[in-house]
Amino acid sequence: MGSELFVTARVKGRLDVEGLTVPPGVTVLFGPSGAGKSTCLSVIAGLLEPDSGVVKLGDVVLSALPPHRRRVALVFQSLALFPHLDALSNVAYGARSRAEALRWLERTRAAHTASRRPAELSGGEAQRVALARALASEPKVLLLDEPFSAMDLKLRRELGAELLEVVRGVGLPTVLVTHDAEDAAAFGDRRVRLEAGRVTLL
Amino acid sequence: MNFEPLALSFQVALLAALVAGVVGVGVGGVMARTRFVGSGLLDALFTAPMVLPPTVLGYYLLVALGRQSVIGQAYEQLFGSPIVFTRVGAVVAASVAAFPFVVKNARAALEAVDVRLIGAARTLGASPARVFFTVELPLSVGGIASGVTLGFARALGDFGVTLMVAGNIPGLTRTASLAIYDAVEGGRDADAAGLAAVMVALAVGLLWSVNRLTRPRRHGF
Repeated sequence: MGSELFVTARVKGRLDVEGLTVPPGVTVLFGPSGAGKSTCLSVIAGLLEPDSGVVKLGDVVLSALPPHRRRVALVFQSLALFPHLDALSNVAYGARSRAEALRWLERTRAAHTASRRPAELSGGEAQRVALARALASEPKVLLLDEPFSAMDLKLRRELGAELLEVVRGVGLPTVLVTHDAEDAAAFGDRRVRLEAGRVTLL
Repeated sequence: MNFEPLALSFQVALLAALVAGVVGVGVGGVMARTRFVGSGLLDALFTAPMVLPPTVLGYYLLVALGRQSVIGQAYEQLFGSPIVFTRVGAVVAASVAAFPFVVKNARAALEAVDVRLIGAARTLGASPARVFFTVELPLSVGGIASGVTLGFARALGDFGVTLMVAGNIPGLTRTASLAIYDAVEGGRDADAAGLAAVMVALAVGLLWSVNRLTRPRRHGF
């Protein structure tokens, strides 16, 4: 059983989260644009230093570590695939080995894209590669920022359901951010509302 | 026509481009990612060699590296020969002239790298140094290469700084630009014309290649 993620963070004018807990499984963080959802993920990943607060995983104080030692993988809304590397090399970037990377591409059903550059991937393929890359780095926490927003509704629900099966299979504490209440209902085991920087568990 | 000054210019300019390239990319990288008190002033200082009279640069290099200076004396103790009025002096002079071109271009290219790619790399477990060499540098290679090429071209053509710091010693520090001056002074018009034509061809060729390096291209190559 994995540990629980605990977040208390304040970023002046952007975020005020008090005691958000994320157990293993998918917690959906939703709320209107500008409510601080992405800011919250950046703080957890260590890419943004909060004015005050603490991020813990079990007893480990993540906020004392630099981002590359936190083992918190973040899938950006833009996916942020490395444009100069093919899909397999993208996944292998944080993986133990290329063989391991290929196994993750297989699990997200994107093995056929291995030798293609990000510019040559469809939206759905890029999505699969981005998730494979995050999971291949063997994270202890997974963060997904509006992960399926670039796709039309039908594909989004289908691909979302499929990829979240993979995520659930891994069993990590996972935060999925969305501004869409219906997505939140469709994707989450647990839903947290973030509005004007404050969290409410639904 | 005597080709020795051209060969010497090439040798000096290559070394200068290498020195300015390594130092310039390092400095450009730091300046692209950090803001500190005085960073704007430092930027102006690093860029100044582009617009300062070469004699001013040469003067300060003489003050800093001359046989009476701390650096000059330490170097002479270590290597048994001075910096100034040697080929090393010529390389230093050309490196300083080339440096701003590398810093400006490297900084602009590195700043253009999407910060989300850097963030993604960090969350995948990469240290800042690894991110620099595996993400930032490969994605800025075009801009850096054009900076180094411009620096090389500038080093190849340097006259004033080299004259001040390295003198005009035949076979040792007399580069092509100095040799042209000498040829004109000595009434050897054919030599001057030949060297000048070669320099023009080189400059045009290098600038043409810079244009090719910086031509916008779609990602994915």
